[in-house]
Amino acid sequence: MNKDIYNIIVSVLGVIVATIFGIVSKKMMDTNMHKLREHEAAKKSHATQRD
Amino acid sequence: MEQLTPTEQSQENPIRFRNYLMKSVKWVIGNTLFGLLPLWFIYFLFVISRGKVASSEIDHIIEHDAAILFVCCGMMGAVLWDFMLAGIKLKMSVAFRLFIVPGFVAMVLFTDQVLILLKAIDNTCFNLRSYTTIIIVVLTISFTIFTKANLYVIEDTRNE
Repeated sequence: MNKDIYNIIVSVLGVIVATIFGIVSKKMMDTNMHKLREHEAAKKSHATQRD
Repeated sequence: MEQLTPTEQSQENPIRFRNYLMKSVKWVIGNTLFGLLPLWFIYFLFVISRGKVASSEIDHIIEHDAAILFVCCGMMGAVLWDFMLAGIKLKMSVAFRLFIVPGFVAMVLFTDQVLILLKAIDNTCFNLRSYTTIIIVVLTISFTIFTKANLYVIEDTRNE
């Protein structure tokens, strides 16, 4: 019985932790990809100007 | 052969997060294969002997030694240190929410170890079908894949 309660608590906390991590990770992914694309675009425009 | 202009090249190879995810999935698979090498070897012996030897050793490594959970901790630690050593500046709140997964996994493992030492639960909590193992493995895989992929993106932004 105690083990069942423990498992339920761990599962609920696990879902909460996974959700928080998912949100943060998604935000971070969007920011980093945006930066990378900006960086890539700036590099390309710089190369075009030089040519 | 026809040479492509930079615009055409970027249209042909757009920067996608999926590419970074695939790279980090390969990293996770490679690390798991290498981290569990002793277990694979014993399993290989088990298979070639048609189950005559090594059956109890496999159970011992998984349940008593908690090898899978050790590998999970090792992989999480590797990603965590990579992130810290990369010198990425994060807000305290973001860092806390990002590193909540390793903290939670450590907390569950410590609790399990203490409960085993107090004989409140037995070693079966470390077997492959237990809640603890499933939750830790799922969280570890998600954490390592997504955090490592983010790290690859950041490194590419810096290097290019």
